[in-house]
Amino acid sequence: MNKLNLKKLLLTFASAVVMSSSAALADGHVKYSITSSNLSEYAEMLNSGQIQMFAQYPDTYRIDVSENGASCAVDPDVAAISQSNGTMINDNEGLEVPNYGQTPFPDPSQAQHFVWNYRMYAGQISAVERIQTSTNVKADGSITLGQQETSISFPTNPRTKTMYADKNLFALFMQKNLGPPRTAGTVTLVHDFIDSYMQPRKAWQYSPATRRVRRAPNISYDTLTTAGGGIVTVDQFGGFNGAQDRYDWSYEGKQKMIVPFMNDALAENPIAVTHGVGHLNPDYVRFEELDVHVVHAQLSPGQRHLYESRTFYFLDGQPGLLVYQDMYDGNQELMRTYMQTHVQGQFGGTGMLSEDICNVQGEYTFDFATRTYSGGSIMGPAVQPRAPIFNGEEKAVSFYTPDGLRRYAR
Amino acid sequence: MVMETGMSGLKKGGDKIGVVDLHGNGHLYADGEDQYGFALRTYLDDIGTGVELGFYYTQFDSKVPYLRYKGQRGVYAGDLFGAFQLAASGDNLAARLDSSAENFGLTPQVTMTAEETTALAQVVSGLGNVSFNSGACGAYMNPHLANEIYGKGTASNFAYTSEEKANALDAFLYTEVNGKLYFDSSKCVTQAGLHSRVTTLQGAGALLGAAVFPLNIAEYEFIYPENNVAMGVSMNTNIGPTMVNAELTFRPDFPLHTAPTDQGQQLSDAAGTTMLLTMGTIQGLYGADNTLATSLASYRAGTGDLTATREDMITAAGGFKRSYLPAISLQTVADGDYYTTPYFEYDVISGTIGTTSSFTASHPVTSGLGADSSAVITELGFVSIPDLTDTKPVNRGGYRDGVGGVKCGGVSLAGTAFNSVKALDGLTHLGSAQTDPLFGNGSYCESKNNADDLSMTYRIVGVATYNNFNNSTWGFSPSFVWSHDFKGYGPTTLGGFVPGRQSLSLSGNFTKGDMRVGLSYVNQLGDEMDNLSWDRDYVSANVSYAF
Repeated sequence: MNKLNLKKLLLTFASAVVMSSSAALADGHVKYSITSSNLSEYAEMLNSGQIQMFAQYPDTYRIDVSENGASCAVDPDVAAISQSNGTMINDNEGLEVPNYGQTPFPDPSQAQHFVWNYRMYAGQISAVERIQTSTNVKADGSITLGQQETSISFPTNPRTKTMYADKNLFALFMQKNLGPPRTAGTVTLVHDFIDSYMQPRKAWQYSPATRRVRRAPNISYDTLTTAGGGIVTVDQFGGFNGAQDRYDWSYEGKQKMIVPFMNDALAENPIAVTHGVGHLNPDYVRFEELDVHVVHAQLSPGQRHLYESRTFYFLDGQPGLLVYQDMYDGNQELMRTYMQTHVQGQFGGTGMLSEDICNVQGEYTFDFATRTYSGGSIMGPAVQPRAPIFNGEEKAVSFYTPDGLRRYAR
Repeated sequence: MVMETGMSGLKKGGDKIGVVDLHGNGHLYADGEDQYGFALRTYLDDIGTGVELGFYYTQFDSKVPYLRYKGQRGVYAGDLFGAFQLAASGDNLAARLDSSAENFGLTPQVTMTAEETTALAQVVSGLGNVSFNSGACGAYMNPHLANEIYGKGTASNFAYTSEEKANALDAFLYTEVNGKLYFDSSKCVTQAGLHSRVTTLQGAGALLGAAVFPLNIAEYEFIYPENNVAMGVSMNTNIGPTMVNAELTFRPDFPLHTAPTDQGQQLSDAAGTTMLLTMGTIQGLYGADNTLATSLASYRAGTGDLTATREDMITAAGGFKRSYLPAISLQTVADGDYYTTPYFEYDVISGTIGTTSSFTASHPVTSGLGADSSAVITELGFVSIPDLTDTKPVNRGGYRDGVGGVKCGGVSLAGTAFNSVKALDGLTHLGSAQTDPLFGNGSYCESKNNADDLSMTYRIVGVATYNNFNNSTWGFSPSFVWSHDFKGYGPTTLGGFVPGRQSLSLSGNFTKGDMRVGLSYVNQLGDEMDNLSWDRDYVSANVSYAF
């Protein structure tokens, strides 16, 4: 808390004194900046998506790279039970692990190990209550804001008190759209399972227009999200979620890359300031040089997906956060790029076991054809209407049922 | 309280329907008490992909009005006719009564007092207003006046088109005031004198006035049946990428609205209007052919009673009811104000089954359309009334003109087919409302009077979404809705489906942020007798801003 307040104070001071100076520069740690003119010097340390951003917005796009700072801690309770690798079963759609709730592959060696570690990483907290913000930015810079009240329980977490009979259950998710007005009142309930061969995801939706709860047939794969402005698929929400069965996965090695990290400036400034035309305002996006593991997913023969292939970039070590994802269409053209930002701490919220544990600040998808972008799960003191609660009291089992959805929605 | 209805503009105390003034008595709302409901819902995880089941029970008061008529105590057309008929004869009353007696084989011996004669004169002058009104004058003068203009040399009603007759009436009976034509009864008096129609009009005035009077003083009102019960079961589940939902509802003893026209005839039956009109017709026929041969032949053929006499037929015609609804006895009319039958209670089963399939960006349907997402929604609905009988008919959807079915055939049960020579219809279909000289519609009768015990409909909706359409900042979402009632007439109270009714709606919506602009075109299809909206294709545009 003190740290955040201090930063706020600094930011206020800086913006007051040097109006044109960037927040990142005000922090005083910028090693170097990449623009379209010196891009070639750093191209090897950038993913295709970032390089394309320079091509598309040569006059305005910039990457400010800072000195490396803090690193992310892992949840001690999960770390304590994560000593040895599990195994993938059911065509890699399921897991067998020595300890229920552990990080599946503390020592990842295969492509899907990284994917599994990342997917299960959300379960490092037992429950979360938060209001997250979404943005859709049109090519002309107009922004449509959305807010989603979200409750999630993770039965696999060691601290989760509620006992669930189904050990395959990974997440219970309830989300109420508070805005924009067009979709306000729509509520979605999802039961997400670890092994989708055993049990595909179940989803229900309440529509205020019909005042009814209906099973949603396919809130998965390349169905588009409600809040994503038509450029975000469901399985891209949170970076990657759901079944991995539509792709063949390959590991493409570890390399040092320039990635967004410790993005407090995005959390502590209003959307109108941080969101520019075509891309986030470079003044507020902090980058570091970090080691990442590159994992490639290629659509399996006979399968269908909007993205013919996608390349994921996971941070080295635990918790193995996702920083980038490049998405290619059927013509192997780069269609969209995805960037995830993080902060250390809990956005002024409560319940995290340590302020050194990192949280996702936001996830941003940039569509090159339409020059639009969409932000999702955006958190931060300057953005959220109330502080999040981590590891708090879990909602009753009955809350995460179609009936609970009906009660919550009305 | 003045009620606006969907009929015509308000005039005088009520709405003018043909020659009848209708008075509204407003709404008699339900008390709103004893309304409750409960639902039990459960989720069966182990059936397929999981099945949601719901059971519900509710008791409620109707939110939709049911029309009924209220007849006035003791007002009977036959009584009025007798009075009017006597009055119409004026000074010649005694002679007329003698003549009637003679016709029926009695000895004429009627005399009148001076007081009776004076009173009658006053009634006659009042009756003149009825006799020379627009209804009677129009009905009984139009062939004569049409002949004046078109010179066909005949005063037969069937020799002239309705346009010719309308032109003749406008020319001879109307006066222009401030650029508008108004009926002028003084002109009617003059024309009736010229064409020797005064006595006819006075007789008609008596008949018309007597027949219409009970209807004129009847009232219509809207009631809301209370404590209706509905119980049902609903389910939904996923089958592959398709969500399937179904609902089944049972309504025990549920009030289904009867046809307003059927109720009108029920009122006419009760108030003696039917009998008077039928007897008026018979009297006319008797004058032309006192054996009533044509009618009797039709009566014998229709009823299968090959030995029926003229008297049998007249007796039957006197008791003939134009309505299927329960007869209201003369005793009931005498005892107090009385009501027509607004609904019958039937056990009703209704249900829907629907599917929702959404296709992701990579699905062939979506990618074939070049869209970002697409969906198809289907719904099949039905209404079943297992115990429905033709003797307790309920109002159905679609076109209808009067009371249809076997009542079309009149007392002769002559069927729904009429004669190529229209003038014969009144003889062969004696007593039917459609051939009535005053209220008839030119002999058109629907064979289908009742709803069907099973009626069904379906809808298909397709929608595609193009985000950032054409790389603009707008999203585009075209859609279609196809609806088709394919089986059976539904009761108007529930569904009102009409077999053959179809419509296609095409819409396009453009969305940007909270702004939406839409255009839609609805094309009504199917037969014009099935789809009463067939000539109401429309285009609508809308702009909406959500906040």
